[in-house]
Parts: sequence; C-alpha cells; structure tokens
Amino acid sequence: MSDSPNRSVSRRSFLTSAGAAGALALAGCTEGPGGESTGSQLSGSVRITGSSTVYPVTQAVTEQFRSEHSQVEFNVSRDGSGGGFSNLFCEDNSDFNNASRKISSDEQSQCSDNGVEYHEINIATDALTVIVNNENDWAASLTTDQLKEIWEADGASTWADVNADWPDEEISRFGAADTSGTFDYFREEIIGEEANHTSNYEPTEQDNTILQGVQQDQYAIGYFGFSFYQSNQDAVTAVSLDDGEGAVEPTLDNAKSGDYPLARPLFTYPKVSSLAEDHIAEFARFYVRQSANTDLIADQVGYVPKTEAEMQSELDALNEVISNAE
Amino acid sequence: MATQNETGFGQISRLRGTVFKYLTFGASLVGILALGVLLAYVFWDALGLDSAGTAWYLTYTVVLLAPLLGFLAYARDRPAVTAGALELVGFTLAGGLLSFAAIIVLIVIAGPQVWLTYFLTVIAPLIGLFLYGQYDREATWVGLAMLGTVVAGPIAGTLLLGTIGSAAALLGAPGVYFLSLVLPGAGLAAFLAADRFDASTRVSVGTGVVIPVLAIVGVPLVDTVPVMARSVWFAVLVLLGMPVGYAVANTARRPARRAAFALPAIAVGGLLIGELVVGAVGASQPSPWLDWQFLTSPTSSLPVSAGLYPAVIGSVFLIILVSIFTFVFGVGTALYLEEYAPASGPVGTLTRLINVNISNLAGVPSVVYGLLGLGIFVNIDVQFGPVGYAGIGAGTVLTAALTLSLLILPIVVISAQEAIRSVPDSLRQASYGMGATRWQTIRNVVLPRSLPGILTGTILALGRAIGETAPLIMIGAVGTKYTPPGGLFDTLTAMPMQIYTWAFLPSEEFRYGVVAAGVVTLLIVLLSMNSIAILVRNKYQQEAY
Amino acid sequence: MSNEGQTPDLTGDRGLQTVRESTYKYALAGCALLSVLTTVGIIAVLFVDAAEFFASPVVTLGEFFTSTRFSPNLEPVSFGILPLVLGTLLITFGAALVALPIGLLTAIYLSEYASPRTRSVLKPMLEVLAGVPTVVYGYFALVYITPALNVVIRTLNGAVGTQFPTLGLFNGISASIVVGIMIIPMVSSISEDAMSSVPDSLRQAGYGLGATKFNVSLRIVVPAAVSGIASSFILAISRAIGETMAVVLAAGSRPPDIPPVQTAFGIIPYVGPGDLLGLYSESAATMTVAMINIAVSDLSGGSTAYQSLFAIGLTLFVITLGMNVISDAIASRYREEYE
Repeated sequence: MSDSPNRSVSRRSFLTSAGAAGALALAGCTEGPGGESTGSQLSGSVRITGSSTVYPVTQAVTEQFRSEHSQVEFNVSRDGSGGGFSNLFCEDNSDFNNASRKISSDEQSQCSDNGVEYHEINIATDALTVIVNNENDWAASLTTDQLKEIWEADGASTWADVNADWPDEEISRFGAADTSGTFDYFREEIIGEEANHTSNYEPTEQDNTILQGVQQDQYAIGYFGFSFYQSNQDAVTAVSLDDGEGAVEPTLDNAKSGDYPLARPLFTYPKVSSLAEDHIAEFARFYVRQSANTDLIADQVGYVPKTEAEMQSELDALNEVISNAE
Repeated sequence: MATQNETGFGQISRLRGTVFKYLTFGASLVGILALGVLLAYVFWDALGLDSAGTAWYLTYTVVLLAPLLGFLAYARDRPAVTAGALELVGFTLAGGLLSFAAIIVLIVIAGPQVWLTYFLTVIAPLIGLFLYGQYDREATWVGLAMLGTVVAGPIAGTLLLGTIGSAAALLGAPGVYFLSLVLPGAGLAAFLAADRFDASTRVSVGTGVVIPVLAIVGVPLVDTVPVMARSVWFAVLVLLGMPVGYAVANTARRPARRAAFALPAIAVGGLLIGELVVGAVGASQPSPWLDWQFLTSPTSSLPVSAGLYPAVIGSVFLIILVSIFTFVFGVGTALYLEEYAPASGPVGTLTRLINVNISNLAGVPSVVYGLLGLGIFVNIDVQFGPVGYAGIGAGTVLTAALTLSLLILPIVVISAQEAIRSVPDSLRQASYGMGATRWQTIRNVVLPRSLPGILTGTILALGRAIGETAPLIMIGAVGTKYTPPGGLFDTLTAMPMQIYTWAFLPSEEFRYGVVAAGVVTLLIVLLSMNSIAILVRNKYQQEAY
Repeated sequence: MSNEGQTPDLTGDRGLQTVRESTYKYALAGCALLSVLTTVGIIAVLFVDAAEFFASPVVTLGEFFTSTRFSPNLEPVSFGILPLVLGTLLITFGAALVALPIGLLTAIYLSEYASPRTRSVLKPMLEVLAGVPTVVYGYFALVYITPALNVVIRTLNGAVGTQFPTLGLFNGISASIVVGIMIIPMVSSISEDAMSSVPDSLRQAGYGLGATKFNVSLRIVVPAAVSGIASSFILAISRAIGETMAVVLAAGSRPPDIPPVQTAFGIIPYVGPGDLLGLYSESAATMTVAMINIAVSDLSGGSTAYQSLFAIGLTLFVITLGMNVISDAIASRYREEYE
C-alpha cells in the first residue's frame, strides 16, 4: 500500500532536485559577468495583445527577432481581438494589438478618448478551410451555394437535403463561436446578408476541438483557419470550394493568387506613441518585413504571406508613421 | 457455557457493516483510480516511455525498483526506519524546494541590493525580536514590536533602498548572501545542535563555525564550475545542506533509524548503475518531452525547443506571494470571526452576514475574480484628494498575486474557521481560568491545536491557485514571455497559462507532448508542496497529543 | 508572601496589555473587513457594466429572464439567461451526484474504518486530485472520457437493446463526471475533519449500548458532524457552479435547448427522462462558459454583447448568494457544539 508514494517520491525528489540544480545552473548563468549581447544594443520590452488567430505569427516573428536582439523582452498574450482592444490596447496598456478583423468604430472612439493613436498593418492572409471526415467521399468539393445551404439557419438538416445522391444522415456541424472574428467573416462571405447562420452547430473558440469533432464523426463538417489544417492534413479532408469558376483547393498558393474564395486579412495595430521608441520601431519594421517571408508565415505557421510589393508599401507607410512619431 | 447463541441477546448481522466498510473503501478508491489513470497517461506522454525498449525497463526494474520494494517491505514492520526514511526524504524535498524558491526569489528576481535592504530593515529585526522574545518571556511588548516592524520595515526599506543598495554594491553579491544567509544559518545550526541534539558547547560552536568555513572553502571549487555562482552555492549550502544535515544527524544518532540511510543509497546508487548498464548495453531509452532543456528554456513556436522556464519562475513567485497573503489574512479573518466577534446582538448579526458573505465568495467563479482584478487593479483611475491610484499594471506579478489571493481567501477562511471551531472550548476556558488574556489563549492554545486543519485548507486552496487559468487570462497575463519576471511590477506568465496556450496550438506535438510535460512539471511542484504539508501536519498532530 | 520574587505581578502592566489586546483585535477585524470589501468590489464592478447592458435599447429585463435563447452575436440576437441557468443546473446536479456520495463515503471510511497508516496514505492522495489544473480535467474529459463512454453505450445498446443516446463530442455527462471528480477532495477532506473532531466519548457511548460500527458511524458520528459535512457540501457545490475551464472543454459552448415540460395529471410539471438524458448527451454551456467565451472573444469591448458578460456574472452572483443564505439558515439550526 505504501510503496507507490515512496517510489514516486524518490523519483519526484530526483526530478525536483534535478530541476533545482538546473535552476541553480541557470541562476549562475544570469549572474555571470555582465550580459554579453549578441551584437545588438537594442533593449526594452514590447507588449503585444489581441487575436488568437494572429498569435502564432507574432510568436514566430518575436522569436526570430530575439535571436538577433536578445535584450528585447516580449510579452505576447491572446485576449481576442475585441478583448485586446477594449481592455488593453485602447486603455494604453499595450504596444501592439493583433486583430483578425478591422478595428470597429466603438473601439476607434475608445482609443481616441484615451489618446491612443494607432496605425493599421495588414500582416498576413488566412485561407479559411472547410473540412470533412476522411470517410466522406461525397462532399470533397462543394459549391459556395451548397456550403451556404449547409450552414444557414433553416437550411439543410441531412446531407441528402443538399444533394439527393448523398447519404440521408444528419449533418454534424463544428464551427467558430459566434463571438469570434472567424465566424463574422464566414457569415459575411458564405451566408451573406439575407440569411442567418444556423445555431444548430457546436461553437467553439478552440479550433482543435473542431478538428477532433470532424475526425470522429463521419457525417461531420467544420471550418477553421488553414494553419490547423496544415498541421493535421492526414486527420481530415479539406473541401475544395467552387464559387462559379471551378473547384479551388484550399492551398496557400491559391489564396495568394486570389482564386480561393475564403481568404481573410489579418491585422496588427501598433501604437504610434510606442513607435517613437527605437526597439519597438525596429521590431515593427522587422514584423512587416517578415510578412513576406514564405518560410515563416507559410511553412511554419500556415498563413498566406504578403507579396513583396505589398510588403514594401506597408513598410513605406510604417516608416512614415515612425518618422512622424519621433 | 455462555456461547454466543445462548446469551439471549440474539445475533446481530455483521453483513451490513462489512458491506458498508467495503463500499466506503471502494468509494475512497474511485477518485484515486481516476486520478491514477489520468496521471499514468500524462506521465507516459511526458516521459516518452513508449519509445523505451524492454532492456531499459528490465535494467531499471532490477537495479532500482526491486531494491526499493525490498527496502519498503523491510521498513513496513519497522516504524523507526519508516520514520527515518520519511524524515530524510521530507527534509531533502523541503530543502530542495526552499533553496529553489530562495534562489529564484532572492537571487534571480530580487538581486543583492533589494534583498540586503529588506533583510536589514525587515527580516533581521524580526529575527532579533523573536529571539529576544524567546529569551525573555516576560517582555510582552515583543509581539507588538514585531507587528510594527512588519508594517514599518518595508516602508523604511523602500526609502533606504538607495543607500543600502550602494553598500551592497561595495560588498559584492556573494558578500551580501554570505552575510545574510550563511552567518544566520551558522547561528541556527549551532543553536539546533545545542538544543535538539544536546551537544556540548564545544560541538555546537564547532557546528556553527563549520558552516561559514565550508562556504568559504567551497568557493574556489565552485569557481571552477562555470555555471554555478558563489551566491547560489551559499544559498544551497544553507537552505538545502542544513535541513539535509539535520535529518542525517537526527537519523544517524538513533541506531534504530540508521537503516533508513539505505533509501538514498538505493535511489542514487540505483540510478547511477542503471545509467551505466543502459549505456553499456545500448538499450533504447525513452525520449522524454520533460527534460533539462524543457525546464530551462523559454517557449518557442517549435515543439522540440519549447520550454517552461519563465512560467515556472512566474508560478513560484506567485505562489509565494499568494501563500503569504492568504495565510495572514485568512487566518486573521477566521480568528476574528471565531474568537473575537460576538455571536449575538447587532454586531452578531453583522458577523453572521460576514460568514454568509464569505461562503458566497467561495462560490464566485474564477472568471468574476478575474473581472474584479481587471476592474480594481488594472483599468482603474481614481483620485482621493491629492493622492491618485491608477492601478498596478495589467498582467503584472502583483496584480496576479492579489487577484489569486482574493480568489482563494474565502476557502482558506472557511477551512480555518472549521479548524478553530473544532478546538474544544474546555481548553480555552482552562486557559482563561489561569489568567491568560484572549490573545495569549489564541496564541498558545487555539492556534497550535488548529494549525493542522488550517494547513489542510490552505494547501488545498494553494493547489487550486496554482492551476487557475481563467483569472490570469482576464487580468492580461501573457501567453508568451521569454524571460522570467524581474520584480513585483513586471509582467508574468504562469504554468497553467503556458499549458493552456500550448493546448490549443495546431501542432499535435504541442498538444500531446509538450502539454503533457508541462502538466507533469506542475504536478511535481504540487506533489512536493502537498508532501511537505502532510509531513508538517503529521508532525504537529503528534505533538498536539 | 514569601515568594515575591517568583510570583508575577498581577496588578501591573495592564496598560500595555490592553493596548496589545486591542491592537490584535482591530488588526484581525481589519482582516475580516477585507472580505466585505471584496464583495463590495465585485458587486460594483459587475453592477456598473450590467447597468449599462440593461440600459441598452436592445435588451429588456423581461427578455433577459424569460427568453429561451442565448445568442449574443448570432442572428436572431437574443439575450435570454434561462438556457445558461439550465446548463449550470445540469452540470452542478450531475457533479453533485458524483461527488457528494463518493466524498461522504470516503470521509466515513477515512475517519471511522481506516487504519492510521491507510489514512495517512489515502488522504494526501485525495488532496492531489484537487490540485490538478482544471484545464487538464477538461482536456481529459474531451479526449478520453467521452469516447470511452460512447463505447460503453454502444455495447450496452447492442447487447441489451437499450436506447441510450450516444454522446456528442461535447456533452454534459463527461463534464459532470470530471467536475465531480475534481470536487471529491473538498467534500471528503472537510467532512473527514468534521467527523474526526466528534469526541470519541460519543462513539464509545454508542458501543457501550451495543451498537455496531455501522450504526455508530451512520447514526451517531454523521449526524454529529452534520454542520461540517453540510459546509463541505456547500463549498463543493459552489465550486461546481463556478467551474469554468473544465466545463468549456468538456461541455462545449452551446447552451442546452430548454426541454418541453409535460404535465402529469394535468397539474404536476415534469420533464420526461428521455428528454433529460438527451440534455445530458449534448452540449450544455453554463453561465461561466458563456462569460469566458465572451471575455476572450473578438467582440468589441463596449458592445452590448460584451456587456452581457457582466449581466450574467451578476445573476450568477445573486443565485449563489441566495443559495448560501438558505444553507446558512439550515446549517445554523443543526450545528452541535460539544464541551
């Protein structure tokens, strides 16, 4: 009876003392002869808040930046685009706010009330992907009208309602919560103005539950950002969409070229007063330059990078704002 | 003559009782089994055990597991050996955690200047007053003086930060820690030797002298190891070495307990031999997610290089602050409500309202506390005449600590109240009968007896606080931070926050491997805390009777 | 008279002692005041924004309390709190069903039947249950419990022919189980402390009268410790009501649909057991889930939808307050004091 605690205790104490020793080692490191910076003298801290969709991009970019400027500290949090604006950015508590949609008028007035000036940067594009179960061999390609029928309120309730050849089974839907930017975008693009999005679906803020739901149910359908599909391509099947010009697969190239219908822009909003500081201005430029970096944005994270030309115009606009800020 | 059937009292069926006993036993196991399954899954993933070959399992079973089981079977019937083993393990654990926490707080976060300042203005006077109070029992002003120091000390320290800071710079970081850790530690060692072990004056003084000497002698050795700094060596010597030394001395001096030394011998020896054998045989080892690199590097967008270091530091910092705050205010509130507050009359009704209020607060969801923290610590801007208060920062250590403290305070208060209530009133009356005042009764009778119960409640509550994510999200704690917090007003990330961030990233390796490693780290910290609390509680329970 | 040097002076030092006593008394009272301030703070923070929410032209109080649909952003927009209350009730009831009996039985075992050594091993293991982060519990429910339960249901349906509905990815049963497991230690630890503090003389008196251990435990100890047990129940249920992260993951973000209420004999309203089971096998977002989803969403901070968060919080606060007032009244009636 008393063997398990004791055995796991000695393992525990080994791990704890190992961890302690590790921390000792590191503490020793931090106390070593004054910081030898890797070349750069930039230092300071940067606070980035906002959308969880843009978060992976920011994380990858800040990591890259840190490898060249190790003295700059980053604080990145995921508060949602709206939460980030109203609780933090427009209350003058952060330097950048990421958003998966443009800033709203309420947020604009809140920012101006608090004297927060911002600059809008389009940092990447997301190819919103519709997924079905791997066993689903009938709906690997859908027209946008069929998609609308599946997802609108009082629309189809079984697959057979959409197309009589398809199985007469109820559709299980998994999608973004109605409070997210992804939902807003999907509704605007697919459902349109006249109809409503169905409420007969499983809403969630966590995209991997959409993945799991579709993976486990043969008659399920879901939608989320491309980065989730890219990391789990064997688990589910991506649906090719046809908006009248032929079925287009959801790939980054198709989104970049504009053929894929569901391509939504992602933004980041730096605070103008923060741009007066050197390390933030330098990071902002780096951020914009990375937006055209295919390795980082496309391969590592899973979004559509900007073209060189687009990146350059953003960079020019940014530089102008920076020089006005100083 | 009087067999059972002929007594005339009849038979009572024992069946119901036995069934009930096994039913309750089964019930106790349900939760533990569920926990066991969960832990097994998590540990399996974190330690990457599925990639280890049979040879590896076989080796460690023979070299480590079997001797340990043998030792446990041996110790089962010998309570002295068990007690010795528990003491050794417990003190090593406690010492390890203490030195770990102290290094993080005193060296990494505070730094020599800040530490020296608050040591001189708060800690040293408190220790001095305490010692004087032990020596001269008649001086009743000591308690008040200590209270005064706690209030005035930090203020004085903040004012004198500059002057003492430059003094610290003169002494140098190792010098500061030598003065503030090693010397008091030596004094404590000498005192313990004389008091607990009844050593002669010479031996006690000798013990006291050995420690600074060891510290100084070890310096050139430590200097050769590039990663360990002198201050760290001092901290380890005092905070880990002394508890372990105490346990070792305690065990060594009783012949019945000496067999307990087999436990560390088996553990260390077994691990070393196991490593040698596995290396020689070339068995496939497990590929753990939880390894050195994980514990000492910051997070990253690549699963293989992601780590938990800043989050661990953040969590430790948080827990220390939260435990101090909740213990002081929680026990204080409970004492007031149970001992001082009248039970009837208008103030009595107020007391009952406060009680109901506290019960209610215990059920308020953590999200609401997050909103509270956001509202009064972050997004606030009020003016009280000349003084303005604009909050203490979004996602800073202090905001998070205060918010979490408010969250678990009601739970601590309620458990403390139950513990204090369970102290029989006859003891209190006896104390009053001897002429003690209310505070004396509380300090000498009520508190010692209720301390185990209070500790139970506090540990449960702290365990909850470590794992809370929702309030941290609301107050703006960050999901990605590459460096640990440097002070009270620095932003922080904590372990649950980091795990939560990882759990919803697209890559499967993050969700199943890195998250598991994070959860295991968190659980290890938790288990260590719980173990220490249990040992302390057991010790107090023995002494109370 | 002759021991003047040794007798303490009973008449002197009153001044300082009074000062000391008063200082401690007021210092402790100050601590107690903190809890009051916390409540005031919470009410203030919630009220200010909830008032704005109700003042908005889109929302009416009546609609808030009677509408059967909660959808802040999905057309047609409706802010009805009933589905969320139903979700909270489902999860809390389910969790209580799991945790209260198991916790109480565990406490009885630990305090009455277990040997000191078993007790010293079991009790800490149970306390670890309370420390596992709630996110992990929710994740565990989603990844392990739901599929396992579905396997059991399918085998049962196939073998015995019952018509139990299979569980969706998000469902109320897994959430209830997991929250229940999480709160078992609260019930068991605190109840056990209460039962241990029942004086042994009562037990011995029972044995002396010829009662079996079973009788003594159930008929003497448990009733004697009822106030401690009740307060542990209340604490545990409060925790279940306020649980957020585990429920978000396990029970999803969609509030349950209000089931049709049938009447028996024309007067007594009831919900059919089939409907009830159906409720549990689908997502059941609670009030706390709705709050956190709105809080981390992309909604604009000043919008009505965002402010509904505060209205829900206020309702939750009022509900738990009412529950605690009632339970305090009941508990104080039954509290027993010894010696």
